[in-house]
Amino acid sequence: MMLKKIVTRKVLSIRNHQEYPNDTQQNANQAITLLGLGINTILNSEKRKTSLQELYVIVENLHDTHRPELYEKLNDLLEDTLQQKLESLIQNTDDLLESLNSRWTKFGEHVTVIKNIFLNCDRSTKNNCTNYNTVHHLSIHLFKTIIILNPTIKDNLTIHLVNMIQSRRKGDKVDMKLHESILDMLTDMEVYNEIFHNQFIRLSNIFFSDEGNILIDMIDIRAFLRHVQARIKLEEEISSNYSNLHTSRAVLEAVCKQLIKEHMIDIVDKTFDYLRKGKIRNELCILFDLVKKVPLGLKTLSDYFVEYIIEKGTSIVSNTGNDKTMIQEILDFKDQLEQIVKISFRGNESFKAIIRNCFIKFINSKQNQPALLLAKYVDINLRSKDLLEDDLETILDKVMVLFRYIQGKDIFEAFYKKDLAKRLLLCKSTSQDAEDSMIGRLKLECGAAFTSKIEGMFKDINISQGINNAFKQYLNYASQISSDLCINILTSSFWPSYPSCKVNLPSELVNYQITFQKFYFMKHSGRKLVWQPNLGHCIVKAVFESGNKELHVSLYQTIVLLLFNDSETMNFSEILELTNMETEELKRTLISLACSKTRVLVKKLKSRDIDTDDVFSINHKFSDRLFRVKINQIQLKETIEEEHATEKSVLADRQFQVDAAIVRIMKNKKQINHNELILELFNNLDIPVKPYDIKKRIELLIEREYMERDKDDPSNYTYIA
Amino acid sequence: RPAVVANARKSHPKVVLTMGVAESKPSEAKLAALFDRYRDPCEDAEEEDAILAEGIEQLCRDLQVPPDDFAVLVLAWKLGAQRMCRFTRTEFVSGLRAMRADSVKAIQTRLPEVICELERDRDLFRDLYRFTFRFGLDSAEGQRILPADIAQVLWKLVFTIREPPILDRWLSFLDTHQSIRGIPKDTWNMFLNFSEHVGNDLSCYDDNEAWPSLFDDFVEFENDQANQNVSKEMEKEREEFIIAEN
Repeated sequence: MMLKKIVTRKVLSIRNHQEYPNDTQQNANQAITLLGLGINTILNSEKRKTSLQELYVIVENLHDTHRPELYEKLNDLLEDTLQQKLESLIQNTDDLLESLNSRWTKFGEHVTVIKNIFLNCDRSTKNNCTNYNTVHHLSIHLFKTIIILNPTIKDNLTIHLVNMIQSRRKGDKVDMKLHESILDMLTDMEVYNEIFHNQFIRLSNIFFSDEGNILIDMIDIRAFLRHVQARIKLEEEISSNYSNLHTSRAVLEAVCKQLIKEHMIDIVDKTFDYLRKGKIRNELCILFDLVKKVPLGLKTLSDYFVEYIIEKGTSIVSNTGNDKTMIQEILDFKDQLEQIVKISFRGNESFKAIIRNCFIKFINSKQNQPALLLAKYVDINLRSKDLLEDDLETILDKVMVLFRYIQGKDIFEAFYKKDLAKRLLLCKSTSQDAEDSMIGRLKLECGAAFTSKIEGMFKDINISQGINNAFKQYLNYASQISSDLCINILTSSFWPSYPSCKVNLPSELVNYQITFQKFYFMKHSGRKLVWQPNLGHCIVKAVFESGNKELHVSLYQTIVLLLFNDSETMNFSEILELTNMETEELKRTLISLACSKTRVLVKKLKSRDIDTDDVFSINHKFSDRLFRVKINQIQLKETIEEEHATEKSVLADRQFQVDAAIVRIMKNKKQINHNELILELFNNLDIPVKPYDIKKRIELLIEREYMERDKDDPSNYTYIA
Repeated sequence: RPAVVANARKSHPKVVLTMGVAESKPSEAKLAALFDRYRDPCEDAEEEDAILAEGIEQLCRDLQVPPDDFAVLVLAWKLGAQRMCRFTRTEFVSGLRAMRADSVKAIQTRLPEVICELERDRDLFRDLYRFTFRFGLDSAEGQRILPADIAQVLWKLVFTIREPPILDRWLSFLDTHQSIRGIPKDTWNMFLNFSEHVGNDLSCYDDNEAWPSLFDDFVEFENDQANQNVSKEMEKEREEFIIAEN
């Protein structure tokens, strides 16, 4: 059960201790007249005869009985004095704002005083809703209807207010405080939109539109951008004075529309022209900030950005004369674009994506060249002796980004392996760590299968070192002949394929070969050794008139040079017969020995080319400031045919992959529509193939009866088991 | 005897015709005799029992058609000949039996009828068309792809009737592209579909569909030609315009 607390309320009523005499109507009229006089002195700022206290008492006494009369009186008085003010205002509209403001302020002060006098009256009518039933409302209403809405005042007011801002826009100093207080007044009177906002926005639009139309053609686009930026900043500053969000939003909208949106294409177009000429930097940042402010602005900007990247990128990759610099150019271009996005485009993610997509597009627009050159680029850097480790790492990181973009990863692999083979066999690689680091990257990107052969190549070299050491010991033990022979055992499936060629080795070397073979088969019976003379190199000791030299030469060069131990002069066909080399190969070798900078042989007829009846002899006068002389090996420079051959083998590989994929799909599906098959292939193959090439493969498979066309629907294929 | 037939035809053409369309069952004896008349005289035991080049030439003379006539192709098709220039006994006898013709006259009558049927019947024509490819291969050499020059001749021949509007452009395309060495069976077969599909208007061709790649090349070539002509015409017009201005 709840306890209910019973509260008894005691009401204590206090009666007025003093009753004012409330006599007659006459008294009241007198009092009102008195009140009127008092109020008039207030309104005219004259010296008062009656104290405010007395006036207050009058109102207090009369407000119950004579309220309408009191207000009526006040109304008349206010009307009179406002009429007077109006006349003086109309006479001089030049400094309308100032005088209006001061009148309004004064008027406000007076009304405040009157409000206090009418305090009782106002209070008691609070709930009684007749029109303008408080002093406050009444006074504002009258000020508005009599002064503000007077047509002359009203029009002038608008003009003055807008002009003030316009001169502020032109850079003049204006009294923004005054402006602000007038606007506050208009807001109080609920005529803000009518008198200021609507006209202001309309005229602002015209102003900015004119400004934009003139400036866009008159001044440089960079100056234009800076101008618009400054304009927006100024407008923001000005509009912070309006304290009306609605207006500041509208005016900023007008700026953006008239100065940016209307000239969008012009602005972006011209800016990109400068970007193409490389004459722009900071303005791009402004451009980005500006276009962001208008709808579809970023869209237009990104369209131009795409066009710019594709255009410049394509020109880099299709320039045939820049094979040596292409990759560096692409990387530099990418750095430049990334800087733009990072700094000017505020690191915007969608612009980053644009760079990525455009690079993928233009790099792959040129079939295989970029992949090939990228592999070469890595090679050059891995050979370089001047690079610091950190720099190299940075370069490799960048390379990997491009590698990711490239679709012909098989082309890259083929050329990478070819170059790697040379680095390993000719000891050109500068750092094992760097090699490992590159392989690690490739492995991470493409999986272990991609790098297994490459790693196999390294393993071969390591194992070969062990074998060489063992062989040396074996030689010492078995035959007491010492040797500096170094042999690399290469697993043929790991390495690029080399043309097999048979040459007649000098007998010393043949002996070594036989001994080594015996040694090797002792350990690894059942294996097959194929000698690759074209990959070998030697140090040959030679005696010239100027002194002893060591010649660093290829095995082919060695074979030719050693022939001259037995005879002083020899002609081409003799050499050809003794060495059993291919004619072209021998020509190249002889050019390197007799026609290059370091001529250890001399040719009877001095010419750059080798003729089949040329006669050669030792150049006894040969001299060089170095003790060990390297003779450049022409045959080791990658020839164009070699490049084509590598490319061709990759392309043939691709055909096998496509064939295999088609057969796999057909076997699985038994029957498939042409377009579905193409789609499946695109999903399954990670190499770049064109639909046309796929068609050719399909035709071939139909011919070989792996599959056939459906008899009723020629766009369907059926698998033939 | 051929002379007699010829005379008979000359003097009583109507009689010969009515005799040709006789509905009676062909006589096996007559068929055998007919075969033996053209049979290759070679008596080699291992050699096949067949009419060879000379026999066929003689047969053509008797039929009064040139050996490279469309009618001969139709005959070969009706006989189901496995190779060019050879009708085996089985092919010849059973083929003619099916044609219900046991004499040169009867063949002469039946062939135009068959050609009429071919004109009417699309499926029948397709059968002939596909036969033509196989017929054109040198099967003794194990050929699987028709050399382009032979293919061109056969295309002209087989399209003696139902010639597609695109044929001339197609043949001249092959002429100007000597790198096209051979026509595989699939391409041959699909050309009939292709010619029916495009009519004379290559704009409806879509290389995303399952057409053999050679048609892609053809359409691309034709479109290039068309563009060149357009630009040439425009150039000409412009020149004329300049001349007119001057």
